[in-house]
Amino acid sequence: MTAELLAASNVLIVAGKGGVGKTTVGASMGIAAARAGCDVLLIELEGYSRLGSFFEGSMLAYDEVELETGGLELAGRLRARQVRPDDALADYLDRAGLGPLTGRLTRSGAMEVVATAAPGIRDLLALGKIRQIEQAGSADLIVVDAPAAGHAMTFLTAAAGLARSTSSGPVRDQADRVLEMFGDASRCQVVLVTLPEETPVTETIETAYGLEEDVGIKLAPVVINGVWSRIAGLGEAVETASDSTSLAVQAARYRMARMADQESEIGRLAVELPLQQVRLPYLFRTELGVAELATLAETLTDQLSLTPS
Amino acid sequence: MIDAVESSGALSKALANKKVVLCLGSGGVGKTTASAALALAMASTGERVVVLTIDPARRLADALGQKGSLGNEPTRVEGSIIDGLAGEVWAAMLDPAETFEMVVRSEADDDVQAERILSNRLFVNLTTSLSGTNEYMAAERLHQLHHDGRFDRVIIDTPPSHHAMDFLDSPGRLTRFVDHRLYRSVFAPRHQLLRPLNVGTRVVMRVLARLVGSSLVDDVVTFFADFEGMDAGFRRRASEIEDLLAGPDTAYLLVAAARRDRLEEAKWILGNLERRHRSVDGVIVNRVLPFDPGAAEALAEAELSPPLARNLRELASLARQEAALIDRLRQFVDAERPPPEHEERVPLVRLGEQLTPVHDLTGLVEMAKAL
Repeated sequence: MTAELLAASNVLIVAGKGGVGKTTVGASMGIAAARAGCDVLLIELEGYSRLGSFFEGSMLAYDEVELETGGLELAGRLRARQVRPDDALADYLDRAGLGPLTGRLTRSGAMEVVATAAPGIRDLLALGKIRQIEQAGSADLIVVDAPAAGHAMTFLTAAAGLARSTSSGPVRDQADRVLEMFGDASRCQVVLVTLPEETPVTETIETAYGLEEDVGIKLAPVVINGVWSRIAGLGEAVETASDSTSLAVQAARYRMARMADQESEIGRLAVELPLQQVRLPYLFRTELGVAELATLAETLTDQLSLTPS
Repeated sequence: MIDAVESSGALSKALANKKVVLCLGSGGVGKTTASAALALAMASTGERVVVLTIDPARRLADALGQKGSLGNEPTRVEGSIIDGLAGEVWAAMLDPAETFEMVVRSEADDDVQAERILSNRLFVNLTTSLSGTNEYMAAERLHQLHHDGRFDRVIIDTPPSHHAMDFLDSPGRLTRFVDHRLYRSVFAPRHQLLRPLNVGTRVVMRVLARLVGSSLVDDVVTFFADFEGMDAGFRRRASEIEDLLAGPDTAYLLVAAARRDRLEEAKWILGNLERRHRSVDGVIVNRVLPFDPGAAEALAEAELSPPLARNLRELASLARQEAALIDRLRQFVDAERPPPEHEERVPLVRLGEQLTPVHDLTGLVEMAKAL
């Protein structure tokens, strides 16, 4: 299934509410695909870089960098870059033959005027840049770390909004081209990431229906991150424990209550959002690095039946 | 051993004289729940508290056990536990479009001017999709609630970190825009009758029209022409809001979680507050694993059945990592704001992970007590 996903769709936009591990999941997908032989480009949209910190402090910039993956063997390349709206704008003006004006536009505050006049233009410029990278074909797979929470919707609806409010001109053209990419599942899909907890699950369901209705973009399997693994025999061990008030028993009860909540949330997600689910294990780590990402990538590969080349 | 928890009264003391509490934090740290718990804690001492959430999801309503949805107008929260409190808890969810409309109607000379602005396409865009508008309208709403005699205190559940900074910067946004040289020379034609547009401005306008189409540029010109005369009111309020946010009546409460990436964001927020000459008045570390790592580790070495031992080891290792992260946050907060001799450290309160989502108010009351 996801062999298809990773090979058939050029751009995967990873979205989810803040704190669910979007960046982690996006990076793990990148590693999984690079292991399977794809040339992967990870794109980060906001200036505040979390992605770099996973890869031994690789510094991300507007220009691509190869990520430091330590001893991890990859069959394909794994690169990353930022696409910040302001850089995308300068780039855009340059290509539109307005390069010499960029400085003046920025200094005069005209850009703020444009952004106010045409809300979403920054998001559109970033999307346009992603589309341009996709069209250039320098990577087999582009994984985009979308803005968090409600801003993912704003981000993804920017093109449709601008297409409605502008009748012609380069912005309209740009919006149309982005919408064309969104409408083609072989070029672009959205991966929703959630945690097996109530609020993230509820928001994921809402976002999924919002995206389908307002953007018409295809949804890839939903990734449930941070799933606590079951310990065989824990229930029996609690029943037969000699001291039912000991810390060990309290800890086991905590784990079991957590697992019960988790199962009911995963079940609710399955009922309300009929998408394939991919579960990633909780790693009991407050800090993740390349090794942990590689573990998650393996799980992704298993669940998505990717065959390393 | 668990590091010493500051006495739970320290936070209430730090917030005692504050009229406005801004809860800041990155996504997923439980900011809304912490805001709701704080409201309950304050109401228990007889205060009339209103919580305003910027988050359009139902989280605040859920946290407060409210069946219906919240709107721009505060709703009094009821329920057996709340009814027993000496004070009152009110909750509201920001409606940016409604707030903007209220502001425009109150500032416009007459209904005709108000209607012209409200029906302009740019206005509709401004209120529905411009990122930053939510934050700006939240600041306007804060101003209204702060001056509303029904409430002693206003708690703001701000949007996640980056947008929270937009919130702090937002009050002057529209007026900075209106004051801008470009706007002055292009969008305020009545001031410009005697002065032709200079060449530079004309070039800029042509480029804008080429980029977004000339009809949109016309809309902008019309909007700001209609806006004229209202800017004085906006400017006055913007400076009042800025004063309120910078003044002694406003507290900044950082909500964090014991995870490395959340911690980085917490530091980012602290650094940004510092740059704006604001300092943090309290820290809540939410969703901490409720185990003492030392005791758990000691026990995991004892004779236990394998499933119990594995579970305890996993949880103990997590609790140990969390404690280390919280220590680092503590050090960072102290370094940002070293406690002067006569002053106490910034209080840092840890709240244990709530297993079942805080729906019935019992869980929230427990949290409120911890605060």
